[in-house]
Amino acid sequence: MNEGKLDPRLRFLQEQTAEERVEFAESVRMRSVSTARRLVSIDVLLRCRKGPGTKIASSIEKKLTAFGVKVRSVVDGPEVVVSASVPVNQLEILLQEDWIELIEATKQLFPDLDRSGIDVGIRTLQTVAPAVRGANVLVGIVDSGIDFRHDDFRLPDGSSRIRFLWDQSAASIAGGRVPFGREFTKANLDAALRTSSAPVPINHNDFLGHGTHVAGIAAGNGRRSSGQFVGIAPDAELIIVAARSDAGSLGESTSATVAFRYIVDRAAELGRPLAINMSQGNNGGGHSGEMPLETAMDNLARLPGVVLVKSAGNEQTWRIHASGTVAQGSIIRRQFESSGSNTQQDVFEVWFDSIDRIGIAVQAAGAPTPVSNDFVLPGSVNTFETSANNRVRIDSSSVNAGGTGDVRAMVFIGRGTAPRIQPGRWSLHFRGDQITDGGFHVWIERTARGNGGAEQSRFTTADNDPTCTISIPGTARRIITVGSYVTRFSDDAPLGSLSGFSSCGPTRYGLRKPELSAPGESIVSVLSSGSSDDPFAPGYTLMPGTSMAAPHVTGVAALLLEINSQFTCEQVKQILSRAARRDGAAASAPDDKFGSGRLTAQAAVDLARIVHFPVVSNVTVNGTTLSWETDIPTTGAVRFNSHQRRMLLGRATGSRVSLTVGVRHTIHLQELPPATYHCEIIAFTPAPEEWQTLDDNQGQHFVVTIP
Amino acid sequence: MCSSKSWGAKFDPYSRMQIEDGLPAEGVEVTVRVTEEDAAAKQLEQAGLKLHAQVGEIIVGHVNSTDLKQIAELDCVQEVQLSRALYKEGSTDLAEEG
Repeated sequence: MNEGKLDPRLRFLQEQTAEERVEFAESVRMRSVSTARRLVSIDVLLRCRKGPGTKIASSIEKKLTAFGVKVRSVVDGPEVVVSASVPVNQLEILLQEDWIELIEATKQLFPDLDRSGIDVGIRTLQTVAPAVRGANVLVGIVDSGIDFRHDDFRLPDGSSRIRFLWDQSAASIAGGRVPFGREFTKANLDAALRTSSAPVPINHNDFLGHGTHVAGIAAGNGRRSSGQFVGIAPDAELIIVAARSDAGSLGESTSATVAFRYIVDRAAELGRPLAINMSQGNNGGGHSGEMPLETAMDNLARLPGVVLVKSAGNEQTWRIHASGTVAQGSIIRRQFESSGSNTQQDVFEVWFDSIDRIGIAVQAAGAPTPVSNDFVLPGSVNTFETSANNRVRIDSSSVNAGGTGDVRAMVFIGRGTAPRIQPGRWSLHFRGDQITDGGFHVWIERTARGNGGAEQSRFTTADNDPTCTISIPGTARRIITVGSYVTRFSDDAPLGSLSGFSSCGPTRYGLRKPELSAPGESIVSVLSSGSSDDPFAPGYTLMPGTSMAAPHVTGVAALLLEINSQFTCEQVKQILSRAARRDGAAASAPDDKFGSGRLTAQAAVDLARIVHFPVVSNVTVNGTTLSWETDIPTTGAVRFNSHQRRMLLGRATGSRVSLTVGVRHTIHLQELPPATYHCEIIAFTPAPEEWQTLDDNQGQHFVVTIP
Repeated sequence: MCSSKSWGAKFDPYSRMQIEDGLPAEGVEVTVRVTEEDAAAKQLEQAGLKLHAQVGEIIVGHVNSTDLKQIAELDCVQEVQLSRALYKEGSTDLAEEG
């Protein structure tokens, strides 16, 4: 009868042991929480009714004080609202009082998964029939591993919710189904959970804690906290890949590619749809989806029932990107600062169109301005030592990087024979020798941050360009990339605002990224018992980052796949984007910060239940004419580019539109200049819905040659 | 389809520098972009690649350092990249200090 009176977060606290309460109180470090004599008090708001004989609020204050409640303020009105500190062990007694209508925890204590779940509108979906909780859907996580013994990844009978766990750093066994490391099945995990002497001992734990936290957001079932810290898709099952990690890095581009293939293959074996989360990245590449890992992810994202989600990265304030346009015959520079704590290497990636001939030179701190011979032109390499004995290498020999038609130059600044890279202000110089476009971008590859890791250089504030800072592989065209916004009360970060760290789009080719934003600052989710992170509450810990935003979207993607197991990544992207909120700080969305806006689960699920994406069929190329049919009336368009890789990466240079609503469409391209064009077809349902289906012939495009 | 690039030009600058600085004796993991999805894996394996996975035109595997040149020389190989580290995007790397 009193269940509804108590904030579930307080119920959670009430159910803890005395020791756990103290642990919680210490972890949140609130001055209002007293741990004296192992009695925890907690800040609450009480809503009280003025009963018969209770004419003034002060009498309520007296009654509360008699229960050991320390009253701070009383707001009188039709109902009386009291701010107070209450001993947790008194909560049950207070609940028996019928004049107390509600006891709610002070919000600041809970910048948590529960709070972010409410913000994205998940709780009603999970609890009101027909509930949507990710049943019969798989969530794949490529990360630092998982604390598979944690209650939140177990069913009520204690067995595991994890169907497969691939520990890439474990010793391999003969005849295993994975190319390296060790695979554990649900049967292996269940046996290990039942007994310490299971036939297949499992030593795996998540010592970094990152993967466990991410998995908890996407699919934790909140069992450890009696439903308090429940994830987005608590009925989904899991496939986990534990990447090889150390104090700095978290996996590599190669093993991540293999991990994605593995997860998709295992999901196919199980016949289940799948949402995969990746919350790691780097800055190494052209930021338009051209890296091989990005190609692999885009290829997998074509499969029905497979959705790939990636964190946008936390690069916005790290000053990792500069850009500019150099004119014919001119030289411009971009300055960066070396802190002096980098004992290893700085790596710069420079990308520009190969129609331009841009020379690159490096000026060390305090060195004279480069002269003509110091500039390295496309197709060549130069290595030299600075006066401080640092080694500089400029390699501009990749003139058609990955078949993109772009120049990919790299500048390496190593410590050489010196103990570290010389501190001070360095410069990159760009000379326009032969210019048609003149645009260039430069990124500084990231290093392991924190833990005393080598610190990368940063562009000066004047030369820093915070756009195009989405981490790789988040610039892959077809996947869903997620920024972070604030769901925690904070002095300097208003609720709903974009997190200051959240990387911004667009891609170098101008595609909008991120697709949308989700809660990432800050989130309480599952604490790995193997990590050294401080608990926020017993079994849970606090982490901020776009790493935490992405699994909110992964979880909602799993809910959409429960509704329709054949949705593609592109279709889920459309639904999430259409449903996203564009209010408050996100009122300017769609933009390159929030993407389409803030994640809104209920609206996305509602749309998923009614949407009908057109099906494109019978595409024919007849000379210079493209024809196709759709299953429902549509309008249509053809996008084309004469460069196949650029077309795949979204650099569309032209389009033709058919605005007639029908099921058969024909578009003529004969007026285009002579060339071979790579084309993709887009079918639109009529306004106002305008749901889209893009057909690019499985990445091969429809090829039209204009003689 | 043939790739007319010289074998060295098929590596990105990062991989080229790694090669010049010397690769580990136990070999390296590489990602290869190929032009013939269906036939390339077999050719790569014959050239010494231990195949780990294929996703369309992207193939990942382990190769002895001495076999790397042979891999890159294959006509079906468009691009070869050595592994690059990835970093977690939570907690410790949120914002610059100071």
